[in-house]
Amino acid sequence: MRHMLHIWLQVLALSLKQLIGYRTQAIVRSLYVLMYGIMMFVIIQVMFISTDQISTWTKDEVLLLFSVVNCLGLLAFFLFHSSFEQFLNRSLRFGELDLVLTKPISTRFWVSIAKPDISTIISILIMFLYFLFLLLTNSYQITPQSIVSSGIISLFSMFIVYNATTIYACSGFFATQSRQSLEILYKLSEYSQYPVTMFPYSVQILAFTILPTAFFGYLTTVFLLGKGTWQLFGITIGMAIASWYLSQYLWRVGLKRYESASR
Amino acid sequence: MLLKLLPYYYATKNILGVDLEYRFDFFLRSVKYILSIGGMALVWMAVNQANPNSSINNTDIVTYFLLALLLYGFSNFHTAAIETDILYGDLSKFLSKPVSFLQFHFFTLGGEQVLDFLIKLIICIPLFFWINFQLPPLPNIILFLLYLPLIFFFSFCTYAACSLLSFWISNSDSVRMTVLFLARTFSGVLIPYAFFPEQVRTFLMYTPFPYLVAQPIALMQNQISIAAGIEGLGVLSIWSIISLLIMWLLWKRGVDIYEGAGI
Repeated sequence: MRHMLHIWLQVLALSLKQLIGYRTQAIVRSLYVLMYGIMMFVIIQVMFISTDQISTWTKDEVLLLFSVVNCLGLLAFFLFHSSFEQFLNRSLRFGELDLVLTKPISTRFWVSIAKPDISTIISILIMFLYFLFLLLTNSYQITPQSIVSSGIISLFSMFIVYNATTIYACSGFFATQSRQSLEILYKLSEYSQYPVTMFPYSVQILAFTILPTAFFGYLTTVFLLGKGTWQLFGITIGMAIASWYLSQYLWRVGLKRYESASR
Repeated sequence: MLLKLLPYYYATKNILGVDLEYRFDFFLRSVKYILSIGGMALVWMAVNQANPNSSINNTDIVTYFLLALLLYGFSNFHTAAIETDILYGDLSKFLSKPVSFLQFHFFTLGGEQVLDFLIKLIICIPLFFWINFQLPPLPNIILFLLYLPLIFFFSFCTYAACSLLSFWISNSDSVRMTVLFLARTFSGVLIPYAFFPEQVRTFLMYTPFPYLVAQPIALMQNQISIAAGIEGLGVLSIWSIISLLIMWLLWKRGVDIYEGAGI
């Protein structure tokens, strides 16, 4: 474990040096997030023009959901999503995984940390500042217990998102090219900015299982607002265990299929 | 004249061949767009249900987003290839060959969007039957089809003009993405125009955005007259000429200072 942490910190340090070399790129990246945030802000404002509540969620609560989802989503992108994209786009297709297989390290661990997108740190900071701004300017019913429970749910949710990213990325072992599989997961995560309860029941089931959009920040916000229940906590634990075993199984099967022939 | 277009025909055929070589990935790309637009139908149906005074019915919202899905590709694409060609010196090969750089990208991108449109049409036709969509009169359909090439032409000129800023700055994609986000927010592809306040709708009619998605959809849903549709076509034509002039000016100035060294 210490060995893995040490490697991860070394990779982060290298990425940070690259970031300092390409500062403009990091600033431009944060502008995308700003523009995207403004676009979502406009959508949420239009949603609440003619109504005060949608599926028991008020505008302020939806804005809080938006900030939490984007903080966690950008964090996931920074920690492992961009590395898995690199894996699908290059490592798998051009045989670069061979070198990784020769290293005395878990292949899955290396693939998920090899290329962190450290330029998203500025974007994460912007979103976090907006999150704090919302907390300070609105009267949410937040208690110390809700903060602790949402923190625990966030950790489990991030773990589920990591497993879901691995599962979607494993499609690369079974198809010549499947870059779009991770793009689909990324697109689905955009719907986590809307309360899951506003969708039909069948879509809610999908959001808690195959398309794990509920774990991209919705449950964290629910627990932060003190609306969490033991059933939701149990579902999160169950999904964490199930997604871990499924992702491990698919990763092992995929690696056995890997021929290293390059495409 | 036809002989002059032959290189662009082969370029388009080549690009389509590359797209269809990885058919699974191409299929996933179509799924991605269906999810990103189709899911918005569920969001706005929930918003509509939360408003007791709404006169919009859910079938209209579903029809709206199915039509938006068909139109999405013509105004939402990326001219990043123009930026990389300029930044990495690949523009030089166009300057020495009898192939116009901008026309090359116009035809290759146009070919991809036409293929995309046909795939989505095949998927949408059964859905139109399922929701019992009533086709509008033939003049409306013809006018709708006339909108498609003009939407693509205007969008290409606008995004290409942003990409041509690469002659002067290395991060012109930030300008292009800003315009893209504005188009997505105000064209009606993410927010049905009926949900915007009246004053905002009136203001937006002076911009090109509603003519990219909302106006053609209103034609197909028989919500506006043929005269209004033709007027919209005229307004979009004027905006297309303006963006074409800007693109041409930027191209002329940019080629004069181009050194071909790459970055």
